[in-house]
Amino acid sequence: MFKQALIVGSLMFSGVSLAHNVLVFPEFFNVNNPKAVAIDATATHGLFRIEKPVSADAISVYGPDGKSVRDIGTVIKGLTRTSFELPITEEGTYKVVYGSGEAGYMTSYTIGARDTNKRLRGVNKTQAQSQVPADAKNVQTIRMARTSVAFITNKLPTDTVFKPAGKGLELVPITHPADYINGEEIALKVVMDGKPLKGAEIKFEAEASQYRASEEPTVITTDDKGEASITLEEAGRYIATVSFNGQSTDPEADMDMFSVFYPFEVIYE
Amino acid sequence: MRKFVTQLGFAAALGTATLANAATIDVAFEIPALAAERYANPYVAIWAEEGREAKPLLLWHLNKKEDKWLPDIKRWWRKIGRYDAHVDSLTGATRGPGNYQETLDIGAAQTFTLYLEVVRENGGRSLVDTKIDLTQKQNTYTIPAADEIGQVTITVNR
Repeated sequence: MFKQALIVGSLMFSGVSLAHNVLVFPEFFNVNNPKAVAIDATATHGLFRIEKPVSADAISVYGPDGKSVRDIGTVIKGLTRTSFELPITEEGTYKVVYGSGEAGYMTSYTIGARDTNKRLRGVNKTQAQSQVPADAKNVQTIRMARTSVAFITNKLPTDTVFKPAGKGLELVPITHPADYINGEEIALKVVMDGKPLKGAEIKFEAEASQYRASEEPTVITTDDKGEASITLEEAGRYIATVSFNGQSTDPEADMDMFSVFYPFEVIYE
Repeated sequence: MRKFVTQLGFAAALGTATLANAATIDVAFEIPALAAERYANPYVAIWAEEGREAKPLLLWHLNKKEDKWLPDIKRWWRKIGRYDAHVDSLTGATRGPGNYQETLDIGAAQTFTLYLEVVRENGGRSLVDTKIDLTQKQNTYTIPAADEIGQVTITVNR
């Protein structure tokens, strides 16, 4: 119970990176040899709504061969977004990721007669030993990461970029994103540190739901293999979100708080 | 569930459909005159699907080397365009409103679904289809008119 209260507290007082969803999304998901595709990365409360810029250093792009793309064009950090125009030079499926490969640590504790909450950003358990006062109580280290992943397919769909990196929380397509059709099943897999994550809840929100009386996201839960599927009756843009809040496997942390935001489009047929 | 198809597997699947007693079909259809502002001649694609195989038959589009709008022919793009499978089929420039009849080589296909997809820039899109079974005696098939395409009449030439 107390642990839960601590987490809520840390969420409320942290900055942009925790309070907002992070999103990286292309203007086009399926293309035929364009010069480039416009891509925006933003920290936002909305669905495909641009609010705040994010760190340009945390953007990475993988080509159809699975290798990191070095030339992603000029990255512009504006007042509301971080944008670039990705040159499309190969046929196949590209992966665009926002979020650093390394998760961040934060150690929190309470201290004094009034149990004042304290937080140390970027401090893991080893570092906490020297930085947390001896009379501190409720010391807890959280490992956290918020990432966003999107796929762009130039002509034929390929699946090399779907191979999980094996670190942290990842959403992996089973149905190819270039084949998401209204009324047809879309299957996904959730992996944590490369292993299937059972019981993970994936939330689906339609962009159009912002214009309806209630947003009513759809939630599906992964099975023993970490897999789950959904059939979306309406074409359009969606965001799938999956989170993992639980005991950390990292000796430098007590708890993990990971989220992945996955924007995609469902094609009307 | 729609599974990922490799380009190689796809090409191999197509290759098998070109053997033996090749038949042709006549496809007659109308591109309706529409009172649209900024009317553009529509893209027209015709193809046959037999299970997971798709055989390109006709494509009318902007005759540019790189036509970046091809993915707007949505089903055709997923079944044919993105694999470049149409390069050997009948292609041509877009046409204006009028009546057309095209004779198409369907190879050895026996039971298949014939698709017509018509897409207009700044306009509508119609996707129509009919099942065709050459093991039956029926030689004429019709597809009712849709927004972007008039009634389609298909005649099998045995």
